[in-house]
Amino acid sequence: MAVAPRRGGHRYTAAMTSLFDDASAPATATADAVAAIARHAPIGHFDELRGTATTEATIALTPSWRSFFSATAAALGTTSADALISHFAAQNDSLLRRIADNGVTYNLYSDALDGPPRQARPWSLDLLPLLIDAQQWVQIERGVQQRARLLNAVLSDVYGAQALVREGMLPTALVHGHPAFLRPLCGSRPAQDTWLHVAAFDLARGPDGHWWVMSQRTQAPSGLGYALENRMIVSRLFPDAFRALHVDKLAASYKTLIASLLAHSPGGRDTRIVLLTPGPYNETYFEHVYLARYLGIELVEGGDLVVRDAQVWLKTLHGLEPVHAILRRLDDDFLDPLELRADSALGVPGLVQAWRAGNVVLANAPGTGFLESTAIFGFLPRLCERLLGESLTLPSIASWWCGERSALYTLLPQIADYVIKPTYNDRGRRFVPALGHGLTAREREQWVGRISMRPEDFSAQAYVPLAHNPSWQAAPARGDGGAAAIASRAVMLRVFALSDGPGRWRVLPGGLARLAPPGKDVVSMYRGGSSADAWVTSTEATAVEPRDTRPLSTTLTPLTTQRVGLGVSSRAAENLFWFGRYTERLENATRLARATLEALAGDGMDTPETQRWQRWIGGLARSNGLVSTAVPSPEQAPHLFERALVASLGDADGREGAYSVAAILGALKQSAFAVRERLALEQWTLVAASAERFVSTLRTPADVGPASVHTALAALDQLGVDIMAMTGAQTDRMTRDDGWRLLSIGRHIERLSTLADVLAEALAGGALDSETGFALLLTLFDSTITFRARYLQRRDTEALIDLLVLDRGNPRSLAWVAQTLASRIAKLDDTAIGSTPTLLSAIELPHRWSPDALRHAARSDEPATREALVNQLRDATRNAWALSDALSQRYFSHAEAPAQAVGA
Amino acid sequence: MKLTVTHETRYVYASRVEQAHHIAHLQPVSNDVQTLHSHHLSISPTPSERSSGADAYGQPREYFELATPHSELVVTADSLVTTAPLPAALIGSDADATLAQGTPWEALVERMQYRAGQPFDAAREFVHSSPLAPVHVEFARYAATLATPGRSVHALARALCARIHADFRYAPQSTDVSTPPLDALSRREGVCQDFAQVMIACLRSLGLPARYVSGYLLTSPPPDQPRLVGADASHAWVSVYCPSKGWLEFDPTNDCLAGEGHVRLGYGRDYGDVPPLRGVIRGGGSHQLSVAVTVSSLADETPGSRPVTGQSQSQTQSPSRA
Repeated sequence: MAVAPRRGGHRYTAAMTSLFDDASAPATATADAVAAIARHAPIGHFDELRGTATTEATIALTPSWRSFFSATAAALGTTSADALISHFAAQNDSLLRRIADNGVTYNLYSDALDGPPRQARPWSLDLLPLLIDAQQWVQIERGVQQRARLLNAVLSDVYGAQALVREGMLPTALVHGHPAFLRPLCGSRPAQDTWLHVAAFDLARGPDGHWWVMSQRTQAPSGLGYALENRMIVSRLFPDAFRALHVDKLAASYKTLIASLLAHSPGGRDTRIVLLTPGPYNETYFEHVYLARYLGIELVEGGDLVVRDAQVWLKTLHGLEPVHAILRRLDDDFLDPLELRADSALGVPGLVQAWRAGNVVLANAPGTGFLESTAIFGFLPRLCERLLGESLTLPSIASWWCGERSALYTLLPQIADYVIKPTYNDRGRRFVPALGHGLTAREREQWVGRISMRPEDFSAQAYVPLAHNPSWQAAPARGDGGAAAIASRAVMLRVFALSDGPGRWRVLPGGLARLAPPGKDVVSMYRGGSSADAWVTSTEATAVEPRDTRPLSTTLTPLTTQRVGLGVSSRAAENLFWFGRYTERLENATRLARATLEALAGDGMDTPETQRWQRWIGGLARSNGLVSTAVPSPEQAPHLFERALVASLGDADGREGAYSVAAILGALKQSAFAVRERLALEQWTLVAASAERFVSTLRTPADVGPASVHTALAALDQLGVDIMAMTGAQTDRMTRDDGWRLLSIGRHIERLSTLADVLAEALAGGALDSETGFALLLTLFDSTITFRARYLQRRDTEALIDLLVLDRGNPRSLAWVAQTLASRIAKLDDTAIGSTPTLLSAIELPHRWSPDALRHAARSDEPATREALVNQLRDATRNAWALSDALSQRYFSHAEAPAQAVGA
Repeated sequence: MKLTVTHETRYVYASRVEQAHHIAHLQPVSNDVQTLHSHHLSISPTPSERSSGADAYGQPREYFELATPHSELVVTADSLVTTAPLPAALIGSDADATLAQGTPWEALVERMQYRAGQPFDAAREFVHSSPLAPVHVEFARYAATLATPGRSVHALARALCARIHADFRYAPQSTDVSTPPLDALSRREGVCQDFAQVMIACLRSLGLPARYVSGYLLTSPPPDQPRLVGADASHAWVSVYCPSKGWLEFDPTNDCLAGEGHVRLGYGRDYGDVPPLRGVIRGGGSHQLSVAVTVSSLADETPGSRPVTGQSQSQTQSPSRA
């Protein structure tokens, strides 16, 4: 038997190896071609591409960049700059698509905190990475490791013996006077005295090529998720260069972090780790979801956790389960309204006490915020000598705290050479940093006045012209005659130290490179900056230490599988429940819209029968939100109705007063986003992509009316196919845990309430008297084929009730739906076989209905009997809703009363 | 003076509280002007978790959780303390002359500045802004004319204490625990907490260290002395540092030095460091708070006639601070 050839393979490897064994002529040609079209860094800035700040136009590319371009070119089989450029252009399109597909976003804060963010901006990522060679990296790595040790030692002292303050090594103003110094923590210490599990350092490269620390983030640094996503995307776009440059992999560092949390945890092998997020409105929420998923830990909000007996618990479907370690993305202040900011609604009351008692690891420990002040930098060299007995190897950029008089008097005359920054970050004293050289003489005088008034509130940092990294510029943005496709942008590198067991830190090789907007010299993701992947490169010959060269997984497989606690968190369960309900609602609405449009186009006769089914379908369209309640029924104004139905389909914001397909897609997308960490990436992509496609298919220019019925039907058809893929993934690709059960329960509750209503109103309004109405009902129950096969051309109510209500083999019959619901609930509720789950004890569902009584009612022509049947069906809808409420109360307990602070 | 203190805090909730976390600073401290002999804190309903600890300044604090639904919380602290009288030199006509001695305020301002290698002074912690007693130019302006050249720190504090007492209206209910002292300054009114925090903010804004003192006043003073304002509830005053004389306590609400009629619960930068009882509750709806404080001198009593909590000498009021 023949073995099928493996797909993929190593097409490029052989060619590449030979290419880099010697610097061959094609490689040089490629590099020269690129050098000719890549812009230089501005005068006085280090040029990453050329490895120097010299402005000499003839300077060649650095060896790393030569390898990067020639490996890419070799794989393409060309040395032509044009071919390379068009390849990059295609790769950049692919990059943008990946970001859109993966839904990588960065939220800009809205003014109203309770509203959704104004803009969830797509994550901005440059095609070209920052390359750092191994020799440089070793310096950075050692320096960052040392800094992590140093900062940890400072924390240990400041919250313990306070020798540094007593010895005058640190001013009290920067410790006790800093609002981020948290007195409730004094005298406590974390497990193994590890305060920092994740510390970030922002580095800048000066004109001489040296790296400097510009700032440090110790509370809840962002970027670990984005760095990973950047790597996943960019390394795939340049597989040849990636291999040729022997880029250090990232995965091992993330594993180290998790292992270290376990090593510090009081839970031992049964440790449960969670990621605590402020919630979807946080600017970096995307990466919280992403990281939680990658690390294989649960994403929680403050309301999901509770402190009992000075121990942290997660609210799950089956009660409280212990949590031993919290990777938190919430700033210090907000962690615990009992001991820190009383008005924090995001935190967990009692969390500090649980931490103090040693019952939970907080990564990072609270109280480190004072280390983020620029003012602290000037003191670090001496602290390093004092605490570690070493000299500080990775220098900070020259920084002064104005509160020290001697520094103040030195600084004031040369203020033009500095950036003035706030010492403290509290609301009253924070200000936007001022660049001394950009100030007028008068402004400078004003600053000197301000600083002299309260010197300790001000710090100053020397100005460094930032290095420039090559940056891909898509053709439309170039606007300079198309001479260069590779521009240059100011770059900073955020490097992460991750805890690696007590007293040890490991540095993530690479990190998050951040680019300033074109032509600007200030780097900030918030102010329109971009990002780049950062590659630590080496040639095998110069590798200084054995490095992790395991291949990077290209899919986001969780690093850990937590086996402890089978419970799904209440929040995740509720989101999955709604994900299920919206999926089913989408399917029902799509089918209803489609069937309605087709039926209206087909049956134009103005008979009483026609009017009856039209009145029925018009009512369904209104009650299901496809048109606003103000829209007249189709039997009164068919064209108006049809137009309104089509206009509302693509209206995601409900502007037409309807809540139609696009709006449901929006809600589905939102609920999918909330449970992203539990879905396969494709599931999310599918939802996002079909929403996008559906809305864009129906979009028409503002001055034209809604799309045509033809277009609408095409869009609905496509969506129908997408929905099959979605429901298929839910059925086939998800583990049967309680989370999935709630998703399924959500779908069946929605199905039961909708279909029972459809049937009830059809019977009540005599819609089945016509061929069209009868066929329409079967379509809405997705049961046409079965019915025709079983009952041929019969059109009687008894057959209908048989198939749509009683049949235990039809997944859309009410009895089948109710039976499925009941068995899922029994499983969720751990009900003994044969007994009724408590949730269902007071709620009667259709699988309990008597078949004989129903058949009898179906045969009867008596109005009273018919009316009783209709009422029975209407009750089924009401009971489905009642069940939904009962479930919410029982399982989604975080919907309880909000916390409030009290004081006496 | 040997004093018994009973401090009852009662919350009555409109709807049931499902879960609550609290921290109490209700145990009087022992230091060189006060000795604690006994202390008992009773909590009803019985907490599901309770532990004693120390705050950043080594002062006792009690953490407790209530995990079962409840519609009333009663926390009662009973303490027995001995307070030291003021030194004779600080009483009567000699007082001003005594206060005029000591370190000039400018020297203390200088001493509070950081200079590499300069000896450390623990009082520096209390010269910085804190949330409820911040440094602000308005406070410096208010106190500026009292800061005459060479004036001793304690004389300056005494004058400031008198100025605040004269300028400010004591107005129960006019403020709450989170009223910023800048508001109190501009309104020239408040309760003891505001008087104390304004005074602290003034001293800090001049560059001088000052602490907040949370405590109580003797409810019924000796017959020859007037009944002080704020005697039925928690009280607050100010502790001011002089390098040559140590810390001395000033009560701007009563324009006096704190002596043996003052019982100290704890010291902090402002109210926020030592609130008698704080908590976060889930559920509860609106609530009614009542606080009853009784401080009585054991010397006054004949055996068996010790006042019963909640009777004649205590009153119920809300808010709880004087």
